[in-house]
Amino acid sequence: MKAWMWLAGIVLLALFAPLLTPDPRAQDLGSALLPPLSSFNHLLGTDALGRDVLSLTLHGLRVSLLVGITSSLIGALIGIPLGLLAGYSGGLLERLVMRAVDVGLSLPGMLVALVALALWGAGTDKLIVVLGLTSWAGFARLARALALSQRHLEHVLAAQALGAGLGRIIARHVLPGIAGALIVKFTLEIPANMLSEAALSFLGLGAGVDTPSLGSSIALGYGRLYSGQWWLSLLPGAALTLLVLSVNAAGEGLRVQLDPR
Amino acid sequence: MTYLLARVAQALLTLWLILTLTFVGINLAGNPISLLVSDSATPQERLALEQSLGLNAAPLERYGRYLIAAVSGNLGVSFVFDRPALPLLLERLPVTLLLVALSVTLSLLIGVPLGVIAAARHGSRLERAILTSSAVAVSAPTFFIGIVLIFVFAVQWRVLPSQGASDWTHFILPSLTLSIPRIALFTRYIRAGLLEVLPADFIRTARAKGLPINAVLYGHALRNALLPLITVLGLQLGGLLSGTVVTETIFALPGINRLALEGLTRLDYPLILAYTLISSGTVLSLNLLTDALYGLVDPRVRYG
Repeated sequence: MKAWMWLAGIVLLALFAPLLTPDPRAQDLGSALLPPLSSFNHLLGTDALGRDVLSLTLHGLRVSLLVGITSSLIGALIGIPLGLLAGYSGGLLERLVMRAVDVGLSLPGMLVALVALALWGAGTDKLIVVLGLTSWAGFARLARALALSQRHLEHVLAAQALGAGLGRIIARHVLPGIAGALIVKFTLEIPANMLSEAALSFLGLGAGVDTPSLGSSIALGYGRLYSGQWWLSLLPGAALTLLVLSVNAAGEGLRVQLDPR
Repeated sequence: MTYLLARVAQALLTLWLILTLTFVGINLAGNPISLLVSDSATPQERLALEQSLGLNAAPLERYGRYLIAAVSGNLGVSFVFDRPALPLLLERLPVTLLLVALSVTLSLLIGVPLGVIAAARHGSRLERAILTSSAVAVSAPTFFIGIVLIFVFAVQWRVLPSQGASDWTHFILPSLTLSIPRIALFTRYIRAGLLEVLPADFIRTARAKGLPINAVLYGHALRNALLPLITVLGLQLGGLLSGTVVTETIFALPGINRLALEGLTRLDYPLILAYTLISSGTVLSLNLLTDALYGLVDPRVRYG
């Protein structure tokens, strides 16, 4: 419950960031590198270009949320139908899907994302697609395993006997019994993708240069750690940790409620 | 045995798929020639370079040559560094392997006992403290952990070096950075696994016959909690190998991933191919090893 309140607070801050803070791209070289709490206009200080760190951080949370949620959604939308179909119908289809899942799972996600983004260039849209494509296999494997566990239940067999179509059986009779576990998996995929987004942006291969991603803020600020401007990297990093922590905790909470195993 | 052979065949098939995907990806990405020649190069100079690098052949022919190169291990000369790609990468491998080995050892040495303690003191305040800190450690991005460590130990206290790899002290902060989330992960798995077996009859029997609690925990119960840990360990090792890219960057360690990152951004085909081969080959062998270990730890798998 507490996790959900934290999460709601962070999401609200991120949603209303454009109203609460100035444009994160607005430069003001006259007030560059202000430490936190030194100016009322820049509560968390400013970076080397005089950009407001609070604004950069809140807008960065928006990027994290956007990328984390949409990429997990892509993964789920590809992986879950494939996995359900494979687990429920079996046969050649199942073997093909599971071979593809094996490939997907044995590829190190970070490596794939690095290669893909290096080849296609950085950008939020490409990042979302790449992270979505690296997370489908996990969804497919789980969905198949769950569908297998439902295939021989009596209400499913009854629907079969009554002549229901494949799509109807999967959607109406198989899915409801296993939705909880899939929702939990989806919730826990979001923070994983948020961390990947941040790492890739940190390396300069994630969201584009114009996007105020937390990863790129940290990468920029990291160089100034040695000259004493700790707030440039540590504050966005702490914000990201808090966001990931609250989504993780919310997901664990969901697991206890929806997937009691 | 047949089980393992089937797994090996599967792994080889997967490797081929990965190589093919890489080839398609590279070719979709465009021609590296524009990155390699200067803007003032004449079309003739471009063509000459294209020919010497073998970039002007038909796609199918290049695919064939690419596969032959992968199988023979003769992966060509790196466009960017002008040296054979495979030795170039292999030279950097020891730094990365040392880093991975240190981190995994550290994670196991700290994570497993913490997990056992948490499970043995189930319901205590100590368990809560361990669980809370592990939740934070799992959620923090690796590079943030690294930056915090640098800030504390290299900037504020000035006790440890943070850049380069000239002696062993340079490996302390990077391996700590990589271990912290994994300590947390292993702690959770061991605790969960132990809590599942602790109510079992054989544990009660062991206690009843007078074995000390630690002998029961580490001797009897832990063995049964190891199975999920082996899976996680295999996945983690694979992930670590390419996952060290961020850590290598932060700490300026001359590992394989930092080199590969440079090659990647400049479409250095031979380097990308060599890197893909090394890393996916390692991941696949680790997966195989995981499967084999499974059979050793849990005899049920062998006959399943």
